[in-house]
Amino acid sequence: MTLDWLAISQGISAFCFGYPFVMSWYWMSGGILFRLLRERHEPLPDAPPVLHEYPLVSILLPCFNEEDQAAETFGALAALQYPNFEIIAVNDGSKDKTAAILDELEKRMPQLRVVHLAQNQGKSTALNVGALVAAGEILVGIDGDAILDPHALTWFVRRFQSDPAIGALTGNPRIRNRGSVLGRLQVGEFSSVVGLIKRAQSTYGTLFTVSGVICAFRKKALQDAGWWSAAALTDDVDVTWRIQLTGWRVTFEPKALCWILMPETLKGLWRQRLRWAEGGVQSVMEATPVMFRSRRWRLLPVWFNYLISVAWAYSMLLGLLMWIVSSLFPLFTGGPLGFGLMPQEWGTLLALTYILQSCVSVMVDSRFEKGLHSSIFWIIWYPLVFWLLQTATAVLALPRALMRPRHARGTWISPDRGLR
Amino acid sequence: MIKLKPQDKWPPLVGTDNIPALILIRDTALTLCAWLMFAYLLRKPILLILDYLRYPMLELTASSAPDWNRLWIQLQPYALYIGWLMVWIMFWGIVRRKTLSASAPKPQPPALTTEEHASALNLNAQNLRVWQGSRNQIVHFDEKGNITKVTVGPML
Repeated sequence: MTLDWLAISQGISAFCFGYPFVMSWYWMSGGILFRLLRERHEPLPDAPPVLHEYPLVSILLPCFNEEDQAAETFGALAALQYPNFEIIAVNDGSKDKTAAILDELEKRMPQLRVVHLAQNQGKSTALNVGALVAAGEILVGIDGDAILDPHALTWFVRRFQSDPAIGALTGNPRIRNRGSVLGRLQVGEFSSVVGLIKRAQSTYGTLFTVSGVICAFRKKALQDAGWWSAAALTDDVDVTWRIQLTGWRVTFEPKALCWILMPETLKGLWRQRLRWAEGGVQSVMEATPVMFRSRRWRLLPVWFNYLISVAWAYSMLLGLLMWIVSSLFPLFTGGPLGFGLMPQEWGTLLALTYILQSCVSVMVDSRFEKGLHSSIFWIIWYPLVFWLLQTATAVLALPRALMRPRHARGTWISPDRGLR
Repeated sequence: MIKLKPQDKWPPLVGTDNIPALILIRDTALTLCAWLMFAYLLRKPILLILDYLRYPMLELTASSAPDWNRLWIQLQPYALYIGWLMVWIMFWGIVRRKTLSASAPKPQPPALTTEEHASALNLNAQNLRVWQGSRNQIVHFDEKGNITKVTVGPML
């Protein structure tokens, strides 16, 4: 019996080390390949080429209690370097002065149109209403606290124009707030995890998700996908899967930059990551039967990787539990089982691989942000501590998503916007 | 009256100006400690590398070489998976290289018409055209989240 537990423990340990170790090398190679195939010959983000045509682009900006961020967000939108765009600001039943601010701005900004939702409906409905009144075929979605790069629209339009099969694009979100260790850690995380994964997945041809804070769509693709779902907890993951399930492509446009605020308190970060994890489970659960029915096998690797990542989170929990039990009752278990929180040989090798992955991502991403290498100093927290948060949210998210009423509205309150 | 704040510096980073010095010192000190702990965990390979680099160069004098063979046997299955996945991603990179590197404009799919958009949501296309031309409007919903009416704004 003891021998069986030992074998199970060894199997779990091997999987817990092996999955992130193998995937880290995969993300690195995919990221480098995307850099070589796509980005190497491209102009710099602040020097976009002249397009043969500048179609009308509608920027959708859902706003819920954004009175503190409006001056900066609209200040950046007023400075956009694109000749033909409109801004659809959707006030999603805000309780603060957002409505009055938008009404006042509408009189001063010729590109701005305002839609007030009489009651708070959630981001997905706000986006659907915004799309309904938008005049452009290309929709760009940003958050109410995001600062859009002056050239982002040009890069999105150029990418759509170069490939008629692309139905949606994800931009490149960059973290603005770097006051605390949590903010600085996420700078590295967005490059080394989010950026590299998007590059690797784009090389293969399917994406797990666009970034809701900066993304672009063809209206036609959204219509085929059935628009944004009001029940989705993560509108971006959900719509990405449904667009790809209808046969449209989704890819990464790293030059479409957007500067965003991230939570810098543990409570805010926890709430945000838990919603992301729960929304991921919800979206994949919805997409799975459709994927098999419609035989969209191209999505299978991304789907399979997601399943393994959830299994990995549970294996981590199991490994830790085995270690705790075997430490407390060594006679009962017949010796040490599982693994502790303090990295040993294999854990250290994994941490070292993650630091290497961060260095690769800094090299790949350095053309978008000067001084990015300084984020390496703070990245040490990721392999030592931050993964615990990710694992815990993934473990909790599965039962929460399973127990969630199917048609419950996907509304949430944004977490803190960092220390400013 | 709200005053727009155009970014006077780019990128628009929020630095440490408003962060108390104590927090900055705490964060830096804790991160340094984390690196020191990591270096401690890596002490054996670090000492090995230092030994290799000391005179006589590329020879071990103070420590013994690890069992490379045993290490390789342990890492071999993972290396195999990594190899397979690298071949897989390179295959797709080669297959999709033209799509990935495309930058020249191509003929575009037809745009969604107002009629198509309206009919998918059981709305009147004529109404939708009016909404698309309006600069400020208020949208009302029923309890199920369906649009009941759209009136001209502003809100206040």
